[in-house]
Amino acid sequence: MVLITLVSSDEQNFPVERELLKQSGTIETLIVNMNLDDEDTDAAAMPIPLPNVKGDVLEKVIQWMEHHKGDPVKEGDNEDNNAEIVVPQWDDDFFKPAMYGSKHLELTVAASYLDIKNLLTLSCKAISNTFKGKTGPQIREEWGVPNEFTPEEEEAIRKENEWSE
Amino acid sequence: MTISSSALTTESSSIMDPKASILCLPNEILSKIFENLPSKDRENVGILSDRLDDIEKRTGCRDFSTICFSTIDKPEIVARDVNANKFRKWPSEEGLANFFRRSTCRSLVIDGPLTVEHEQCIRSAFKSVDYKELLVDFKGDYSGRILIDLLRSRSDIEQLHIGGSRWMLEKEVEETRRVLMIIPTTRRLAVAASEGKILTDSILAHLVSVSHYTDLGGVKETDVTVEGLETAFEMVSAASHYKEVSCTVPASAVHQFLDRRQFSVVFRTNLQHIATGTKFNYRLDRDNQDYLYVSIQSDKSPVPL
Repeated sequence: MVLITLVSSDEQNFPVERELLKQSGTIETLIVNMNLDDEDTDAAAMPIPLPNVKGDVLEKVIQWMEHHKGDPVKEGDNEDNNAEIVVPQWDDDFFKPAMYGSKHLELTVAASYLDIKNLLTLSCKAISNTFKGKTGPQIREEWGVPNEFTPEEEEAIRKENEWSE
Repeated sequence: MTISSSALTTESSSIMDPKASILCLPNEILSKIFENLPSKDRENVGILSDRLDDIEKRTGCRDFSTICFSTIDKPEIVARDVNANKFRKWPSEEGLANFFRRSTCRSLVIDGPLTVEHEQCIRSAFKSVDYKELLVDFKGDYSGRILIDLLRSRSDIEQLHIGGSRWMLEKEVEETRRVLMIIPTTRRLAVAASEGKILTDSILAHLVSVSHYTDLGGVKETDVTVEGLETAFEMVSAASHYKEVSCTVPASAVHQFLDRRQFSVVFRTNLQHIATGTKFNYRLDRDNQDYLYVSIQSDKSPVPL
């Protein structure tokens, strides 16, 4: 089993099975470009730095990739927008403890940065689900959105946007 | 040997503040989050801040049941989402293209007389909308061009309904014929209530070839000949799946057609072709006795709509 070491922004090393990394478009491109798959190359001796991902977040990303090992990897951005995305139970449980916190947001940003499409899609969907049926003030409080408007401005914006009947 | 950390550094992806709020997410991620939300919830999130409002408006990817562009009373676009919420937009409004970008809808309806300004608006607003059914009223010079535009690059539409109830100028007949000849594969096609002679043998053959259910009964007078009727009949009979076509044909052509083939009588004018089993039915057009209303159905099992 070939292991490739990922190095987080806080200098933690994570040896990861080569197969798992196929889920990350960013790392996969790097591996191909650097010929790390070449039999003559000592992949283990060439750690891949991920300066935009902290160790605790990278650990979560690897945990997610391990669970989804072998899943089909999405290619391109041509998603079927009409398709209803359902967050599977395992992923829901995976996201839940960190939901409403910066950890979940960091995980989402890491998924985007590492180009792990399935993780990004599910993570965004999990965030979307927390908005459903909520009022503005509830969302503000749960997701730390400061109120930049006076009550008068807020009312004006609401009226301007209220084109639905 | 190590890979330089600069190889994987991007400006847009910085380490987040541990106290980050959702506003710390980059625009492209917030946009993806909006894509997953029903319209009402999107609206609630959009009004929380200027930035969220801006991203929400630019995101598109809305899911509608119908979008209707109408000029009947005043030009407006009325869209209904899957939860029956109703949204109004005006053609002059900026950002229409963004609003409808990559949206989906069951039915796209274009209704009422159109001008060149409407044509531009429709082109920009709906160019990326994915619809299943298209209903277009033929009124005015621009309807045909708009229909061609909307059908361009569409390979499969479930239903296409072309309306138009008025007398047509010769150039409008020509325009309509041109449009009919480029209609792509469509499960169900209906041309309703046209008083122009828009149907010829070649157009009938094209429409039968691209559609499972072809309803041209609304075209009052046609130039279909016995050869055209035979071609349509053979296409329906030879199709590997169920096909059905109905249209108005000059009575003389129908009688010639019946003389050339052997049918068994099922009931009165309900006939069945002995060799292929294809059903053929005809009846008098009450408004115009020179024409017969003809229906041809293959002997395959109909596919549920």
